[in-house]
Amino acid sequence: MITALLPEIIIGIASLFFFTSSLLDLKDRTVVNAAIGFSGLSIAAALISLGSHGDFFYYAYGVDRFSRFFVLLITGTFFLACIITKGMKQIPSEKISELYFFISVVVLGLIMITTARELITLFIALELASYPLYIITSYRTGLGYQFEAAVKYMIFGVVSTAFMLYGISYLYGAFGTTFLHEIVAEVHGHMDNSLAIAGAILFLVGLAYKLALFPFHFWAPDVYAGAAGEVVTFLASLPKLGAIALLVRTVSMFSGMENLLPVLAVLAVLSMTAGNLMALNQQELKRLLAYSAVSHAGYMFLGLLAPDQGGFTAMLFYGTVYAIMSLGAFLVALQVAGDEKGDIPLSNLKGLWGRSPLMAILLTIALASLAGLPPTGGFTGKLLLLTAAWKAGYLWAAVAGVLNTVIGIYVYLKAIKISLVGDEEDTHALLASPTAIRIAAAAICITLLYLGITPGKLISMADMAVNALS
Amino acid sequence: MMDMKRVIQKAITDYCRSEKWAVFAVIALLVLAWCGTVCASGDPGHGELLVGGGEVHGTAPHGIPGGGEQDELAHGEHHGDVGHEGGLWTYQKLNTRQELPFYLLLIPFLPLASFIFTILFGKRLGEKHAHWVPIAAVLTSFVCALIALKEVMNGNRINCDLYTLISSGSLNVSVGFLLDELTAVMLIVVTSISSLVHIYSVGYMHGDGGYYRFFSFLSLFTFSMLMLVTGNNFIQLFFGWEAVGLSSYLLIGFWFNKTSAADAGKKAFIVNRFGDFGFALGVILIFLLFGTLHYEPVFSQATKMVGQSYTLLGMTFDMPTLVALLLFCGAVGKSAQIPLHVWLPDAMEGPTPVSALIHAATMVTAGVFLVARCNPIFGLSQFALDVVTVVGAVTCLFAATIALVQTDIKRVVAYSTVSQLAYMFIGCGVGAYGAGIFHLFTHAYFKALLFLGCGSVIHAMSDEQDVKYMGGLKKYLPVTYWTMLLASLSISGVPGLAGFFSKDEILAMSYASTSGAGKFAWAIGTLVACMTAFYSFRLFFLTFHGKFRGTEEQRKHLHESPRNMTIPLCLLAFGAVASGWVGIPAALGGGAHWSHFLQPVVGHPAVHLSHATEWKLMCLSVGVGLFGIAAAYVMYVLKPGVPVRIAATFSLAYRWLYNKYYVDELYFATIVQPTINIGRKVLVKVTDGIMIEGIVNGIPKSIGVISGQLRRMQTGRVHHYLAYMASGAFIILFWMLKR
Repeated sequence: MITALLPEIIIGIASLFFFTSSLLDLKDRTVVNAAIGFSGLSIAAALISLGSHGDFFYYAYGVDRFSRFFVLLITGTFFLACIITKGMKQIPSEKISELYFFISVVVLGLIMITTARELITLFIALELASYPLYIITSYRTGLGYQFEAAVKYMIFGVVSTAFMLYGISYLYGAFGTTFLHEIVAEVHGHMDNSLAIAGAILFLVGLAYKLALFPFHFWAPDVYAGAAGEVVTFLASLPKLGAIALLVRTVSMFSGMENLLPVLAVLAVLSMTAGNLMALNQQELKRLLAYSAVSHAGYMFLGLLAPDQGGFTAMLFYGTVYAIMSLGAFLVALQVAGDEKGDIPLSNLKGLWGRSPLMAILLTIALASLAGLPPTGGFTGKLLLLTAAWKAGYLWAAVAGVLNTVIGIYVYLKAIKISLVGDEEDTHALLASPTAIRIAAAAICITLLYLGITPGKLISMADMAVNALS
Repeated sequence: MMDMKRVIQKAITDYCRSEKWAVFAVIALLVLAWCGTVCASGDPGHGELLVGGGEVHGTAPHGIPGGGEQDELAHGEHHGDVGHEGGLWTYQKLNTRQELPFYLLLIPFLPLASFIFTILFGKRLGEKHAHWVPIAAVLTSFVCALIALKEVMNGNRINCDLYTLISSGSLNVSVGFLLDELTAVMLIVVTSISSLVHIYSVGYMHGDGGYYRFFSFLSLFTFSMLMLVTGNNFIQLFFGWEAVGLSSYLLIGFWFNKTSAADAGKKAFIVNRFGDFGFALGVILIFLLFGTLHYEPVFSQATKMVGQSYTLLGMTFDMPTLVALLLFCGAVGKSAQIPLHVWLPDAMEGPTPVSALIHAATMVTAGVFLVARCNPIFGLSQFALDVVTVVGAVTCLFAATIALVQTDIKRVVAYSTVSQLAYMFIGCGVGAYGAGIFHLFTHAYFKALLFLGCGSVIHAMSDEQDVKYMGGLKKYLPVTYWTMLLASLSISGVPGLAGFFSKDEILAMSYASTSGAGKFAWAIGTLVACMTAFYSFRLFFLTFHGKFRGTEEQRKHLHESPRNMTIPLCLLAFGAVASGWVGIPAALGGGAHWSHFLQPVVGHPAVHLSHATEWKLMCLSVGVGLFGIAAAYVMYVLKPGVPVRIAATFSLAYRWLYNKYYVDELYFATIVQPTINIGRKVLVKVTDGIMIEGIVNGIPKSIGVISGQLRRMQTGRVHHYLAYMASGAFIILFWMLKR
């Protein structure tokens, strides 16, 4: 029992630790190292708990292969993000402990999202994973528009929460229970039930907001641009994983509903198109990545269209790859960020090859992966998603996905071009990144290439996780 | 040793200071991890990329299709059809392992690592050290190739997929290695010549601005060539085929500031397209016929093709003939046979070590390798074999006659290469693939030696290449002189030297051949043997004997090349003398080890020559060879006025030969010019200007407009956002709930 809940326990301890340390006067370095240590420990805990099963709190909380796969993913991302944000240029020194406290709470909430099996528990977990993010969005040195960003983020969060809660109430009305296993048992009789349909849709809308799916994405560009780079790094990777997990779980329950999958297909295509088109002329790296998140949310939705054709596996695979490649992009973004402002214009990338070849290689591989070029993991993931959608009969969605990839390639190649073909006489100083960052960069490069060349292992892991759902 | 130590120290300090060590570590780790994991797991189907719903199933390595009896049957049919002795594709009976030893992976991947390393850091290492990594890599590859040879000589073979790249339906694209007798021979040739050329280049490329670039490209070429010869499937063969073409292009145009060099690179690339088009069609046809591209299943089921035919535009082709000829198209392009021979002489614009490595010893022999490798397919069609023989014979004569009158030292050797490659094709065409490969093996050494010797001469002559301005270099370049003499004797077929044994084997086999084409090839081959001796010694005497005809300036600079150039020359001279000793025919009391060694892969033609006949043939070819040498001696040493008079008497013939039969001009008028005209008038104006530009510029423009409109949604105002969001939710709800 203890091993099954080990990650939750470690993260809980971590949040208590950082809560205490925020009251003490610890050195920044100590706090950062503690965060890396705790996140590393949590990976170990996640690995230990990978195969365990168990139901807790009267079936409200169920540990299975699916949830533990995501726990491993979340803790891994947490660890990598802690290393990447080590420098903390844009966060005021006295808030670092608080930042880690809130992030730990977010991670705990995300773990609970992937594991909870009861709607109210799920809702609490969601809130636990959301509120701290609103707070840390406002953390930034210098005067910017971080408060505007934080308020926007919060308002959208609250509205989507309202949708979701409303949806939950309908679901309760339709099924008379909030326990997922009881809903699953009766769901076949309720495929035409308007109450159930409304509940499911409203619930999904709340999740679509988390994943920044068009047209629920409007917060993303403003928040990404307004918040500190370090905060965005966490914000862009961690909550997405929770949202993917919950989406897969929800859609796997309701996939039999008439019209649900076509609606999702339309949303997917709209989102990837809108995201790519709006990214086309962006000159700010974080904003670009925000729109990239919108289009990738669309790609990932393709996986939901094919519940029986390996779509979920593809989505889990792509979620993993997406977390890694967006972290890679943010690593570079943080390295080239100036000190004074939150903006990271694309021109900061100029001459990156000359300033730091490793960063240029990482940026190239990460963006190539985002664009879906072989031999990176992004290519493999996209291939899996598109073939799954195709097999499920959504050929038009798959074709739209391929066309969008072409636009996407333009978006990302532009940034790659700036970094590789920058003019010689630019004035930017050499980048002397710390060793830990460089190791992380190399690790991300290798992982992305590894997943592109031999994706078999991760696919089989994702497959096992998805099989645990049914 | 001290030098090495300082290099390593400097490298270490350099990389510790910069972050580039990380990059290098990444690359090295990647290569090692890749090799290591696959090696250790021994499950080649493990990491395959499935173009499918994501289900994973390990695919077993390509098993041996069919049991023993089936093979017996296929084998029997072979026997009846073509009359080959010995097994053609008898892998089933031999000890074939399906695991990859580490050293086999090192052979191609070390040069690849060296390429990546040198292209990234070579500039920083500077001219003093940039060559160390490539040389070390290729030498290690050579050692590994020796291990591989030993493995094969112990009777073991390896045929294994490293991993599957694409598995879609029945199409299996994988990286896999096949080590058998033929591969082992090619490995030895490629790695040994490549090592020597690497070392030679240290001296030859000294002071060149692109020093590190040169070495990285050499490594890239070595990698490509090794992938070509070690592959166990047609896709990898094709990959290597194109990759050597690419590195050849890069190296021919190495001095890209020189227009002629850049043009020659393009010419080589484009001319090869013609051949590769056929080759690619052949590979596709093989896939359509057999549903697989791995050698083993294709070759063991090759007899399936017999009796099938293919009808196109009212013409009916016999299937084996069609496949074989399509494959042969590729060979014709790569090995510079008529009618695609035009690129090779121009390729001499590249640095001389490149000519020695790529355009004499290795890449151009890939065509011969292809034919030998695909012998189970070629063996099914007597017509295809006759085509190979006749193309070989015609090219042989054609190139040799041109070589008689050329004055550019490298071009003479280039035409000599075309002519010698033709000999190899004659060997393959009469079914004596072993003899063809034998000539490939010996030719690699003496021809590389000839080229490197020419390089040494050119080096000494301050980049002068015309023999008109040479002469009397014997006393200035003693080492070059003696090694070149050995090479020339070897190519002329003087008994005891390498060229004698291999050329004689081919001539004997073609004489014994039952087909008319074989007899025809024998007659031409014997005639060309005389010409070969003549033009080789013409070049030799013009260069080293007589009086110096260059400028005073050049005379002052005459010097023997440095040690790092002469030592490779001496080693190659050893090869040019001794490489034939592995295949001394039974008629001369030898064991014919070579043909026995290769027999399991390529078989042996079912011909029987009495020793007496063989002796007669040998005497004849040696006689004409000696006659050629004597004629050259008379005309260029004793009576130097004779050649001029002959040229004046037969001035028409002389001009034809001197202008290479006007083939280039013919191609320019019939192919190049019309293509350019169509390109300018139709493609540029209509297709490009109206259709493509309209689409290419129109779509992005409209995308840009849509993008601009869409971005207006991002107003920054919360109430706008909320309105969009809520309306989105309600539209979805409405859609779902409407009945």
